[in-house]
Amino acid sequence: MLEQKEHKFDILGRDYDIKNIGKVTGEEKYSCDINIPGQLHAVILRSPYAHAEIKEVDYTEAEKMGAICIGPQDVPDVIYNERIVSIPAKTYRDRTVFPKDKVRHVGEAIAACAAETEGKAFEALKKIKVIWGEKWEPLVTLDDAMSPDAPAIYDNVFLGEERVKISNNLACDRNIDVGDIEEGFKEADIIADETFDVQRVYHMQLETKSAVCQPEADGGITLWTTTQGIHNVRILLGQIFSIPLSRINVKRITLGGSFGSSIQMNSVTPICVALALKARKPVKLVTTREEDMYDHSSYPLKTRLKVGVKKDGTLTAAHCQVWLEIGGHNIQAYPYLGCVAGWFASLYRWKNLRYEGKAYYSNKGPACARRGYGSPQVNFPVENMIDILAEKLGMDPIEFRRKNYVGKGEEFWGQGPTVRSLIRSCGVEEMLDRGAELIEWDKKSELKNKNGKIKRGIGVARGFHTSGTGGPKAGEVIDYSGATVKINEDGSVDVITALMDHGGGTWEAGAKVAAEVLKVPFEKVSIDNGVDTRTTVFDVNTHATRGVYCGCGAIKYVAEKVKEMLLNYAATLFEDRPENLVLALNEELGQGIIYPIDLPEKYKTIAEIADHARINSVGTFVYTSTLRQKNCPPCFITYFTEVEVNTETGEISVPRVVMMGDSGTIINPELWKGQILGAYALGIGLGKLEDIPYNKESGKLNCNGLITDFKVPITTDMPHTDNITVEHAHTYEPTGPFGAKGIGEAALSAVASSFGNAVYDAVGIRFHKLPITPEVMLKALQDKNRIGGKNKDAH
Amino acid sequence: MLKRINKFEYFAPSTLAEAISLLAEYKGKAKLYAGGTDVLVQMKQRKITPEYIIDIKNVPELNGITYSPEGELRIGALVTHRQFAISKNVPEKFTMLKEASLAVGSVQTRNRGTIVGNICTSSPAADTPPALLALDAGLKLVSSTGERTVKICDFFTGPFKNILKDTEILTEILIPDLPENSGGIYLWHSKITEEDETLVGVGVVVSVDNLQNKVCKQARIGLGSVAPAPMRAVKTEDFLKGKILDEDTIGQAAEIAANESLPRSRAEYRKEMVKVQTKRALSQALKRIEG
Repeated sequence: MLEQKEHKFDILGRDYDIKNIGKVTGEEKYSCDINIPGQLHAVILRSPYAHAEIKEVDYTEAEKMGAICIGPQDVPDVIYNERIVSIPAKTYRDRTVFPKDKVRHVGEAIAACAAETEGKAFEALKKIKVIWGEKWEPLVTLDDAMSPDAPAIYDNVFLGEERVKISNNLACDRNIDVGDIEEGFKEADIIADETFDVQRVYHMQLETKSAVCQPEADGGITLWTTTQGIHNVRILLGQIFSIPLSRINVKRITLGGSFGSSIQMNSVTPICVALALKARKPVKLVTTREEDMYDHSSYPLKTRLKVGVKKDGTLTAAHCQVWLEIGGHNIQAYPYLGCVAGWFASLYRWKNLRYEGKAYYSNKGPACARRGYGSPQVNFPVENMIDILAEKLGMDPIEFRRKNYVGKGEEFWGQGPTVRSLIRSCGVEEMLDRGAELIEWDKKSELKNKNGKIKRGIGVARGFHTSGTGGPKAGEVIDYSGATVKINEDGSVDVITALMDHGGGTWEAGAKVAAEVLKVPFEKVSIDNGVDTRTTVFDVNTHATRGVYCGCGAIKYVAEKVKEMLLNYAATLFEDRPENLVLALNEELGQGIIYPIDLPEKYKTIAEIADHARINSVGTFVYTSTLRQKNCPPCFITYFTEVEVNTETGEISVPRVVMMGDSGTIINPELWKGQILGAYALGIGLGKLEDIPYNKESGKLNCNGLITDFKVPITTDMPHTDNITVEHAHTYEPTGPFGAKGIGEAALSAVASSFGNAVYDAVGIRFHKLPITPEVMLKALQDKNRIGGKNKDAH
Repeated sequence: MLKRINKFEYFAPSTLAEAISLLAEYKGKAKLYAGGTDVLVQMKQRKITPEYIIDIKNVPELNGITYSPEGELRIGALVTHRQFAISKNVPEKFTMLKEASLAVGSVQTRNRGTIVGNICTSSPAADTPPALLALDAGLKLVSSTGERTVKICDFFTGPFKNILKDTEILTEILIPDLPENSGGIYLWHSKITEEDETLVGVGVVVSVDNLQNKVCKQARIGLGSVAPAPMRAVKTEDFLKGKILDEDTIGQAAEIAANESLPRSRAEYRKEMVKVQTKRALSQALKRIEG
């Protein structure tokens, strides 16, 4: 089913050198590379306890060593939530810059010192005396946190302006009903009811969180910090420190990866600001990997899923219950629960559904968004369940998916129940068909009888993510982007946007979109450096796979206005009407040109026109605006994973994989592939090795925050490049910039699910808990032999 | 989370005599430093806080890999894993030690880290000790009061513990020639990812009467990461002596090896892997005798 019409582009779909080439040469500047003459270096005192009362923090001795120190008594009383992407009325607030009453996880910051060198700051830090009061046993598992006699981590928090009481450590919950599930289950011929656990993992982004803050003479500040959204950092700092936003300038600086861990203002940012304000000197604060690992992680998700289906493969009802433990602060559990509901509801036509989600506080590092925002976590249960039901029905898993997926013309919940839009572009069928052909799905059974010790199998799973959080109505999530586009006097173009690039090529895409509209060579468009909150208009955040669809959507909108201005002025020069002029890219000249229709030889270059406007004091072709997208189109993904299980050692390898993506128009082909390949590696980590357990007694990470003991997959854990096929569906998103939608988070959603389904195909064991480590596998194989080799479940 | 290295004084002696005298002078407060791949990490974790670092990288006597006409291989204290793994001075019969060297860390670690350092750190999970145990290596220990040579099987005393005195330098590894009709191999199983610490390491040297009867004259098996210290699988070795090395015997030997291993964490799985790897190692070592 080819949806794509003929769309020809000059710039889009071609590969160029990346905009921030400094990443390759090593010259790129990140927050930790910023140095200001006279700066102090800061270090943070962190809690060794998981849950303990702070009686007093005394830094008199540290100050005597010449250090500038701050403790709980020095930070404002403002209770905030570090993530302000959701509307205030739906945002839970439970924290101050440093905790004033007690610590709630090991590694929570309680004081900080700044001195001329980091060494001196550390020496001073050692002199800080903390008097601890009552200590409570750490709650490190969901069951511990939910237990009725568990110590209370919070008594009260705020939801919007309202004070809410916290009971049994329940941070928040969400329940959604569509249709009548009782009736739905009555219609069903087969009902399956299964429970799954997807683990908590660390983001393991390359750059740890840093900040450099310079206090200005007017009482304001200039700040360089790790973030996915400079404007939200500015707004929050304004609220916490009562500084007008016009006096806070947050510089947009290259991000060394994030995977969602900097959607919220990072915990070190306000600490750095507080120190700089007290010191009246620039302060630099760079965190270590150990600190970073205690600072954020993904949400773990436990899911109980009950689904009813008729004999002909029609789904009739689904009941999805989820539980998560969120760590010591509620950064975004409420929107997360909503999104999990949305991912669940939008995968298949359940007809009737009930969703119940509960989030509990625990004494661990606060969990936050991580690539997919709950989608990989709920995709695993759903895509396993689909295979379970297909088997019960005696139906091919691909056929069963084809029959029930939510596709074109149907409703997609892009950001929970309040942000929904109709799907207009959908490559699901094409990807299922083409993927099956590439992996040779019909020959799947032939794989099995080879070599006794090695069992092979193939699994399929599909997933998606939203492209942004826009919708016909403004929901719980704030979503709009802005840009300034200006044509310089030599015909080159500046794109000024607060849009971030996490490393996936969002800036390349933005530059290409502007270049495509204005017919300027890609090399002549700059987007990468030198902007800040003062020079850009608001952009909510680069999250939710919204970079291309929303961020570049705004750039396209603004660039078109500039194009109109340019053509209008050119019309005066050609003494013609603007609609009789043609704007085109002339690759030979390396310039955009304008000519009267059908008279290409009579062209003027954009440079000539722009410079003419300067010399004649006409003005600059420039436009600034914001744009809200009214849709949230899903970008789809489908994986066909082949696994090899070594039944002697329990090791699972992936010899071959077919990856199918649907992003509408592909703007950056190579970087698009890179997104999918990178996500696949993350997904394999989720599937077979990553985990970040805490010690029950001490509340510390078992790995102590050391990456030598927290493992993520490396290149050698991936299939050989010759055995990886990446292809895209031929779709065009009519509401997206030049037909484009996102990819980043979609790419992770179904990796572990396809892996789990492949493992089942190989050895006949359905794993309900991730990761499937060699030990887990070996034990399950032994158990299976004990019951005579019948297919089984492993919990 | 205070992961900073303590202050220390740094020495870079250029002769062995100088290094030894510094060690005698700062007895107990000094740490020898060659590749630094273990020492620096331990200092960062504050597992050790030496006041003096004696960097021996400039001591020429500690360099070199030499193979004597009598069939003995000598490896100096400064030989890195990488240097050893690509060395042309190492005869093929000692390939298993190259395999063990290649199992250490990543390329970067192997470029810096030394085999002697690997022994001195005495991590239970180290890769070269099991191979050296199977090769029955000797270790030369030198101090200001003299020198002694010990067998590697008598060197380790516990996790990160050994008999090395704080005045001694392990200057050289001495590997004796192998008997005729011998074959050796080192196999390992990594902890989590492919490039990771070793979960189970098995070094094997088997010698047979002749290639036809495959009667085991002698077997030496070194196990790594499955006991508080690298160990010899003595019971397995005794069991194999005099037996025909067929599939059945090898299977039984692997069971015995698993039973005599003493892993603590992930114990069940580790024992299972001792079985798998010992079986593989014995059959592959046998194949190597056949050439």
